[in-house]
Amino acid sequence: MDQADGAPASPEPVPAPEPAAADAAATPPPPKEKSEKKVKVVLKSIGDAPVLAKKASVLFIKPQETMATFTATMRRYIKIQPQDSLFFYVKSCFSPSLDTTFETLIRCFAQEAGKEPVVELQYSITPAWG
Amino acid sequence: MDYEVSRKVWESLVPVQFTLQSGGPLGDPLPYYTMLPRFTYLALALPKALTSFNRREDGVTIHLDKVWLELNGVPAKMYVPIGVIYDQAKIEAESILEISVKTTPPPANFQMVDQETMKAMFMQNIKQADYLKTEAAVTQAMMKDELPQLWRSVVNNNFDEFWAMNRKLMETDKEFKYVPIRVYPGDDKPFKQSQIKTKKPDGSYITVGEAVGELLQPSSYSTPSSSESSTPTSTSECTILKERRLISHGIVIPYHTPLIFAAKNLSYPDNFVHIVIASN
Repeated sequence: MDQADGAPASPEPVPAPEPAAADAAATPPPPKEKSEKKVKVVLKSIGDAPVLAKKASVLFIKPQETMATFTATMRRYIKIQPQDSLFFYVKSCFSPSLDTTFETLIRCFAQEAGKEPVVELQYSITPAWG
Repeated sequence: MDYEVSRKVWESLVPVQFTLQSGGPLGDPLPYYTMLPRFTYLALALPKALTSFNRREDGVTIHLDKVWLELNGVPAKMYVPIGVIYDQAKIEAESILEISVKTTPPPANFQMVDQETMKAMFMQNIKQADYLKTEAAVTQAMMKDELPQLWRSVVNNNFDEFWAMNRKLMETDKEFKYVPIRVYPGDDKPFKQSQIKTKKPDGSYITVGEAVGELLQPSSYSTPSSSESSTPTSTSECTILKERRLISHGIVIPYHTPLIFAAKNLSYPDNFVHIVIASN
């Protein structure tokens, strides 16, 4: 069914949820409002992009955040060199447009890993998959 | 595909005025007036406006990378189809869309998009739409030059060439898994998008009204506060859509239009149905 999910060589499944303390450390904007449900995001490096530690690659993002602001934040977080670009991909297939919110990503392209839906984003410093 | 409908949608134009506020010694040049296809982008139209401004004799040339665009006091989105921008702009039908070209330092939330970037963004949108429809089966089977060709037919305003290629994306072997549809709730909020099927479990077609109603329902990730639509779960599609009009290509879309008809005939070239919500 979900061929696209299995397409890239992924030697290991999506990391199991870490204890809350580790999550908080990995999230750039610290989660203050407990009431708001955040979108679980897993980042995967492809090509020559800097690789994140396993803990650091799991983030919880506000649903109303857009790809435009997320990309700006992630340039610093992943430590992308100023001369390099940063591209994000979904399902190893396409790059979501700038106005796409994480609410849209989780509603349309979530991966059911265990009990919790998660958005996996592949990131690259060069255009991938056309 | 309904040829008449698709052709009319393609040929629909909107009036746009570009005004340069440069503060140069000769004052500002005359505005540039143009009629633009709804399917095109500000990213494609801006170079022509600048050429017109640069025709003046004071020798000051305005470069693309030195300007930004403003519409109704906010940065304009150069990568959203002009028809969608027009329908969102809260202007009277058939009045002019006024774009200010500014030479001041651009605000952080303005994104300059040149033709090459626009081409890439366009093709990524097509791939996303195809992922929703066929899990990307059609685009993955396409030859390397086919998507760029689709883009060229948009740049060159060539309906026949566009549809010769677009047919592959629209007339798929299997029914669409999900319909690529984006709903703009208004007030410059980002669009809503979800997994919307073509049919209900009983086999009847899902209508545009039902699809929009579902998209505007608060999801489990929506912010609980502030939104009026977050009233109890009994909120039906009718309540949410009460006294709201669904606009696409400047046309009020009847609620009962089958969504699959909209997908095949009212999609923009990026293969998404774009619907703007207008109050009253």
